[in-house]
Amino acid sequence: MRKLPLIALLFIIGCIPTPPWSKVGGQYFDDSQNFYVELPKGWKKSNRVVYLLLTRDGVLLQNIMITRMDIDAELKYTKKKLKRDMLPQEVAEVIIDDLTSNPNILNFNLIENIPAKISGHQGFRLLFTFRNEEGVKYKSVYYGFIAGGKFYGIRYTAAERYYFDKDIETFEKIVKSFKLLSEET
Amino acid sequence: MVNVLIKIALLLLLILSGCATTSLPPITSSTFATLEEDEKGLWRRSEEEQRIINRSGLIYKDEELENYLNEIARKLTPPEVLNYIQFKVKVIKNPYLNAFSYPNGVIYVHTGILARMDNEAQLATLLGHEITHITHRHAVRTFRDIKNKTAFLATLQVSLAVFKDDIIREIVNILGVIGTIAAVSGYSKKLETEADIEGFKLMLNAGYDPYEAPKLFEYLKKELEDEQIKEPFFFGTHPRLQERIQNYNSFLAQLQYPNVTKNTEVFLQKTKNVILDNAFLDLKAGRFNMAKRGAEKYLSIKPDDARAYYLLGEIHRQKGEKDDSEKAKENYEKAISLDPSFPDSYKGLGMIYYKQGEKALAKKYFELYLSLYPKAPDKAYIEEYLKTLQER
Repeated sequence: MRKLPLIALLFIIGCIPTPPWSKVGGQYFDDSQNFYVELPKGWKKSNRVVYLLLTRDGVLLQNIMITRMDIDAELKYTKKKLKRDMLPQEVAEVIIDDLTSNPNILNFNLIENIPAKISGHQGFRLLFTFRNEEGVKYKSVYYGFIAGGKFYGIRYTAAERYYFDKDIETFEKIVKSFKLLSEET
Repeated sequence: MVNVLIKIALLLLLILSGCATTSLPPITSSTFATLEEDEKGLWRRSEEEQRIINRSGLIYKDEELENYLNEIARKLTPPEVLNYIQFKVKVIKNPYLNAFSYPNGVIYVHTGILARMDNEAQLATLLGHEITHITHRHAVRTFRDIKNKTAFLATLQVSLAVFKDDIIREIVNILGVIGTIAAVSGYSKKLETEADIEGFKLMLNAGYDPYEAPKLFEYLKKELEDEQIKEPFFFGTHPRLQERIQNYNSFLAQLQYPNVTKNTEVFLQKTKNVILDNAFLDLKAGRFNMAKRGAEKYLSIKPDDARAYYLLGEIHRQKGEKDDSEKAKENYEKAISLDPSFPDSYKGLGMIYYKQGEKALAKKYFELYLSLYPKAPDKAYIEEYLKTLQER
């Protein structure tokens, strides 16, 4: 009979769902996604997605995403495929075409498309603005590179007014700290 | 998606209280007096949705083309309708095969469908169909019909069950409620058939070749089958296309019409820029074969155009399969021979030679590119290639 409250307690604990967001800060190792980054304090990480999704004030105001995908995987909006032997400029071309084929990205304006080095890999850095269907203007910085059979994307998106400038430095620090845990084959 | 469903449900519940008749006379009918109250609500809502589309950057801007399309729409419209509705045709930059209309007279035609038509008679078929949706008040009849059904929400779910793909879900967000029904799910079979029949009469009355009506949809069907493409829109869905072809063929079997026109040359001249621009959109979407067909169609109208050869070069370079590098080079070289001042083909050649390890040629073409386009947006990449070529 004494065991009953304990069983009930265990049952309740077992039923408590994982919170949607958890606080982050400092070193962050993601073995399943094969990368390491230094995360700022005061930010939250989503527990609802496989990739790393961070925000401080809310995803619609600012967010940082680190994604990893097989280069053979289909992109969401373009039928183009990434290939191992692509130049960073060609990879950027495919990513831009995927972004601009997304019907939810309106008034897309590419401000900059330049080569960039991420964790020792040749990649690209895009800077662009767009509006969502509510007419809100966003600004994004998107780093990407191919390592072996994987494509890595590190992206910061924020409302252009006020929020973008506020956290762009934080984002660039995250990019600088980004390391692959092991080289992709 | 949930958000859209809620919006649709609220809109329907708000504007349609009580059980209203779905049997409304067309605007062309002598019994038509004025718009119904709920219909006025739909018109206001349509204007709001159009404002979003118009400021989205999706509108294809070509005044001459727009004037031409509006002229054809006017030619098709019964004069009595013009007292109530001012038709306005606009073009949307989108390579998918679609067109849709709002109850207040605004018709949107995708570049994709426009680029694949052959003549004015086919355009008249499409516009006649869309004009009928408007004159026969299909939007308000559809909303009332949904409301009147006892299993209201179930019906709504069925009508929206087509939105399985992410791409459609996101289009739904932009189009709004009325646009979504018109553009994505389409109206009921009965109303679509009515639009086919009445639209067909409009194109016939305007003197167009009725045999072109089914041809448009036969081409579309064949193209979709050849490419194994599942277009997410009403015009591209196979059963609807098949029904439509059957509709037109059954009208044709009963009729004989001499002295009819196709207006092929005028049509192709007016739409040639759309054909090329849409081929670039097809390339962006990774639809290489469709992009190639577009470029070739454009070249059949304007044979010596460097941009079209450049596009063919890009299609082959980006496709990157067997023999594509050689085909890309041929097309870039042809583009350069037609217009040596057009810089992008030099870059394309430079990239191919760079990847093939042909250092001297790569360097030559990259340098030519930058000399013609010193402020090129991808200058930083080219400079890096040149630096690497120097180091090697």
